[in-house]
Amino acid sequence: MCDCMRRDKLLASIVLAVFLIAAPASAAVTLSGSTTVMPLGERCAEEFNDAQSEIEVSVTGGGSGVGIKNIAEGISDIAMASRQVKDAEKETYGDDFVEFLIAYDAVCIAVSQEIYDAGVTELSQDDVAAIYNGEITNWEDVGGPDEEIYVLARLAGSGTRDTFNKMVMESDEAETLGVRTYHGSNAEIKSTITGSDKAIGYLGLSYVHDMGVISYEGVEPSAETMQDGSYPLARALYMYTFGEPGEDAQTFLDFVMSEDGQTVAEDEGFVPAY
Amino acid sequence: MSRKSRDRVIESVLFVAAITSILITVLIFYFLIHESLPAFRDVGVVDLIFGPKWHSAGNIFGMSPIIAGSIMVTLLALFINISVGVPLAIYLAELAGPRSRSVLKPAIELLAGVPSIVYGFLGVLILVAYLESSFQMMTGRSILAGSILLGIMFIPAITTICEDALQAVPNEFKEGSLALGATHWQTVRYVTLPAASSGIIAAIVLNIGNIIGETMAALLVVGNLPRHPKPIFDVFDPGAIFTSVIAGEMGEVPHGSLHYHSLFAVGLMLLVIVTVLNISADLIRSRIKKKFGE
Repeated sequence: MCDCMRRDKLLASIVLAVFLIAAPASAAVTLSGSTTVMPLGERCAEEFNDAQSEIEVSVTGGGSGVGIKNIAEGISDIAMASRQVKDAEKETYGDDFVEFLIAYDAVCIAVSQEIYDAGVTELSQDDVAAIYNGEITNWEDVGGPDEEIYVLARLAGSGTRDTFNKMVMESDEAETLGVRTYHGSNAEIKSTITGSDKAIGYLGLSYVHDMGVISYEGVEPSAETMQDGSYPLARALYMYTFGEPGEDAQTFLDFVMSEDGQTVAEDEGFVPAY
Repeated sequence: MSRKSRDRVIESVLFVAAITSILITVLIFYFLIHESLPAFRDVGVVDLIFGPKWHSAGNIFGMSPIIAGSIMVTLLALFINISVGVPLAIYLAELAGPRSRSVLKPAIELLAGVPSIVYGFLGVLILVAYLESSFQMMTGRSILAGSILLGIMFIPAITTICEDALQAVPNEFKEGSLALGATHWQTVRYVTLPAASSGIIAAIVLNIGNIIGETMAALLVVGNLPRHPKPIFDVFDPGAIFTSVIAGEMGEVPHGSLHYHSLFAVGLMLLVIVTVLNISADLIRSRIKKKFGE
């Protein structure tokens, strides 16, 4: 018995997840999607639910792809996404997606503290691209110590990865042959960089602590440089509805884009969009 | 309600419960085949299964690095698993006195209850760091790390089934051997082990299924690099396995895309492999039953 359970654990959890997400929405507004946007969605939902009693907002994760599928199939009302809807999704579901820009997030390039202290504090786009392509494999070539470079990246489908590949590698289909290990989340990238003494990786602004944050093309990532547009690796975070939002969903979206909602975004380490 | 019709109602309720499990299995197979068909159609069966490269962002789907990674992780894990698990089972079944049994058995059961994510934590924090420092590796996340972790994780599973197989050997066999003047070890080696061999093999086959299907712990330590190591058998390189690819990429994949269908194809491959392993384990089991007329 125990063996069967273990064997089918993955499938069972997928089935369970489908049931959970498919739970019927009463008078409530349901959100699902990107785990990057989720902390923001959750905090907004909390404050929104506390402030009034007519609409109850609930939030689940699942990833951008899951969120977009859920609104298209009517399973949830609003999708959180760290990327825009892709053409493949428009082909599958039809082009009824309505987009709401809710905040910005910076993709920071970070290195292990040892490398930063040894003098690698600034990299150009060419340097970073060469490191990720596998053309530069030693820190010596970019002004660091004589150590091999341990290159980290996110797994395919990650919005952070898409942004990085599009802007630094100049194609979101880049193969990045220099990458040694792929990781599932910002948190995993963070712990791997801090745990190594020769690593480089990219991650969201709110995750960079205890590591060397690289000035990319001479600009240090911060709320200020993102807002004035001088830091190039910024990406937008979205919420989507399928068709025009219902009255309740619209009320919540208005809250997210209001001053209060945007303050929450700032607290969570994002840059307000409005 | 008459007693007879009440009986009939209860019978049919039990019957429905019984066929539900079969129905679910059939539905899972149907769903996986249905969802992976577009991938097999668009990429081609041979290219999808044996293609040399898995580069999902560039819409290149070839499973061979994933299959190779899974085989390497599984074989090495199985080696670790067997070399601890089987001797442990022999000790438990043949040598341990009541007192050491009363400590060992619950300890093994406890080990079986440790959630896989806890193994994953320990793997990342201790095993990966240990491998890094002792083998001068750039990163400890590797096929080797995955193998060690999975090998240890499933020791309880293999030990429990092996021990049952050893216990099932009739006492007359051992008594006969001892009466002929054989030592305890000679009895174990030449009588008990051969008699239990098909049970032990069934345990090993089942455990291959366990190892190849484990996700959470493996995802954290194998490195998730779907590329053939150079040289191809280099276990110190990061690799990717079936489960790590699916779990890592499924959340953000655009639904209905080729990538989505290809991930289902990976899942179907995994399910087929595990099913074949389970059926062969069952066949081996029924052979033992025949042999000893249970």
